[in-house]
Amino acid sequence: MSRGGASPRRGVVARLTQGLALAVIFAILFVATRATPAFHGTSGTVAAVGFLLLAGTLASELLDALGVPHLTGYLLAGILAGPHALRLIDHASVEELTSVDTLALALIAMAGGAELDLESVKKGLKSLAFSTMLQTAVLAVGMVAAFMAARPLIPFARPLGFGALLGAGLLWSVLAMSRSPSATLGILAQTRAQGPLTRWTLTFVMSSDVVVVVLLAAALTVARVLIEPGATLSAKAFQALGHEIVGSVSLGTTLGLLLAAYLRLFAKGLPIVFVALGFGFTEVLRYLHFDPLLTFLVAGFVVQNLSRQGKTFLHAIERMGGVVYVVFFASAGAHLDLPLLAELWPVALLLAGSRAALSYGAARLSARVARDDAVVRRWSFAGLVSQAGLTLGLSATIEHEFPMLGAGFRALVLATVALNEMVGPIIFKLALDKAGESRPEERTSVVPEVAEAE
Amino acid sequence: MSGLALLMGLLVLAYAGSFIVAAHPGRRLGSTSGIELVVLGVALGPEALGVIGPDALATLAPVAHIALGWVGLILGVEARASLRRGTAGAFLRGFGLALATALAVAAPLFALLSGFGRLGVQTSLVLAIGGGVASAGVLPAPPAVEGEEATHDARASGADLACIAMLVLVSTLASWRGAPTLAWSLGVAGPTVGVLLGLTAAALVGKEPRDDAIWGVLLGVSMLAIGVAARLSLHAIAIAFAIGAMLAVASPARSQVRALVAPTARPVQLPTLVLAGASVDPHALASTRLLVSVASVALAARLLVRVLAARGARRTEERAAADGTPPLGVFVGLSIALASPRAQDLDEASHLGALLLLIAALAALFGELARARMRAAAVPSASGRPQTKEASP
Repeated sequence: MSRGGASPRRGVVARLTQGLALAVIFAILFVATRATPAFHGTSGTVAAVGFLLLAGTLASELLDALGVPHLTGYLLAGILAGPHALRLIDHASVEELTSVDTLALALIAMAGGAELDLESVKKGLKSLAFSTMLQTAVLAVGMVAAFMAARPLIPFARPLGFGALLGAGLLWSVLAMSRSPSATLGILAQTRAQGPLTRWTLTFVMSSDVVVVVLLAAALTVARVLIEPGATLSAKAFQALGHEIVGSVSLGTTLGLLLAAYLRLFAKGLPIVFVALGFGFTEVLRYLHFDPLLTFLVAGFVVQNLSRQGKTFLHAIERMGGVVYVVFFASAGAHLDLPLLAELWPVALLLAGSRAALSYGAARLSARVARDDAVVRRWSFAGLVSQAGLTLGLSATIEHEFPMLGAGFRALVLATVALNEMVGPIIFKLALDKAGESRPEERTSVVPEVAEAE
Repeated sequence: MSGLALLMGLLVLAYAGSFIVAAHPGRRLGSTSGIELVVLGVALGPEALGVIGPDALATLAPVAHIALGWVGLILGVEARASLRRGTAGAFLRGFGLALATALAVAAPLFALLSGFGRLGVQTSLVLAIGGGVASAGVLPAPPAVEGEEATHDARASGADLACIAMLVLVSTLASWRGAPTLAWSLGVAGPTVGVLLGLTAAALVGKEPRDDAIWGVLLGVSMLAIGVAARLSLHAIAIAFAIGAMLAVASPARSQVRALVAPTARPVQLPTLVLAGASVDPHALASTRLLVSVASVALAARLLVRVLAARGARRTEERAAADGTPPLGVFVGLSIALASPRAQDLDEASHLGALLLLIAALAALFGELARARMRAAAVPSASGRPQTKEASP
């Protein structure tokens, strides 16, 4: 990225060096994959991690000159190298890379929780309540209507009766309410933004996670009655949901207190602790049927607000996240199914556009009602466009619960998320820049400023 | 034991170890060569207690490969620092001594193996040179005379370079199928990839980077190199060495890089030694008729060349170096590289890695004894300071 002090010539040399470095690593992996097309093994995944880390960072640095967020650079590098484009990374490696997701999501959730300052939450409680209610209501009604209106364009929806179509639309609307904590934190980590818009977006996106998890459980119960003939309303699903939420919050609080105590006593070896939590503890949470995202979110919140270790904790996450996020987002790019996107793009565009428009309207309305700052009124919608891993995870649950909707439902989710994943971060970064909350002088990157080496 | 549980166990061990090391800076736990961990690995392995099962070994194989690559990177980064201090003579002496030891061991071994009759020329050559590399090298022992650290480190780096070069030779020989072009390309392609990636890393690291930025670049480059090496059947340790050397030559932040990576060598090597030990099949090794004769010849030849070298050496330090043990990374690299599918195509090759590991282990054991004798006889330095290059094998 360009810095204030760097001369234009140095900037050009830096970009050229980065471009050359990117070409070299692409060329090396290209030759290796073409020379051994039948190779399958864990080493392929090892190479993929190294490649995505370097290529993602370099692509993001190069695109930074155009004002494109780093996250988009990571995604583009992944898409280009992935199994649907240059095939430098095969399907098996892409699947194996999902293990990085657990670590990345744990870091993202802990960072998200630690970014939530209790005082700020209290101050913005009225705004948060209004926006949550309005976003939920507007998207619930609007997206059901959009989904039903788009029925002729959706292959799997055409044979559905009115009730089943309504049920599918209801599920779709809950998915539309989900946002992307990872994209939000990724952009905030890059821009080092601070201000009312940053605080509002962070608080809303993080709390919307909990809201969506609860709403999905409710929607699954109602949709079952609409989609499956003979099904009745059952309180069992809500019982399980209560267990999951209460358990996650309890365990998250305990974990947060333990982390705070650890930081106070030792304050070293945190990367190892994070790896153990990301891989080991996530498995324990899954075994207990607790929500890892919520648990880690609460843990981060507790460390920030119930101890004096918040800064140290956040700093340690940022340092490790600088590497982990690149691989996480670049592998998400490699995951994108380009042929599917090419096939479903008209309807995906329609649904993504409807969601963005409804989010925009609801955000403007709620900001006006809650009398938010002008900057929040104007730009609060921008952080609500991105969707990523959480949405895909929820869609996998829906697919599992309603096999009759078939793979088509998940395919449409994938296509829509792909669009939101590409466009959302760009809009959010633009909004932060326009709102004057970005702090380019404090930006961080995995790859240092090459220009300084010249 | 599952791979995940084992990985977590290793993580906890490394974590606990970091506290112990931090509490006693400068104090080394266990032997310098870490040979006891190889023995521990054999005991925990699938053929003994079975704590580390075959599945866990397979799961953790990439970890071992990454560790070996990382060791190569550290050796490369260290190499230039040794030369920079005006110690080129010591560097060359270390290189020459390692080469001489390897050849002195390889020659009688080749004669013995060729005479055995059941092994082909290629297998005999691979085993002989492999045994030579396993016996060669200089482990950085604590200098008895204060101020000799630079000379000592330079000699160790020279020996490392010689061992890595011979390792590439062994690897190329093992894959030789009558196609010189292929074998040549295997010998040349690795260093070329390493040089390219090393220059890339140097450009990316820049002049005044943050520590986490350096980690990002090093992790990315190392993992790409190790993965590509496995794909193209190249030697990861040689590629990583070239990357490290290029970084040390071309990066303005070489001191910062060196300060970051050097302390990681031992924590990376020790679990790898356990895994290397676990991959040895002691029953199969015991059934190899060549075991006693090969090990005896290798050990005798090594002792001979070391004694001759020590007689010719002028100073105590030189003698200590001459009695040194083989570099850890190299014999671990040998055992794993030669256990790769490519080498297993050779006759009796399934035991080659284990046999070479045994030779290296014996050499290490005798080296440890010699060092203990030297230390007892040497006059302690004024500060009584411990060795300075603990991290570099």
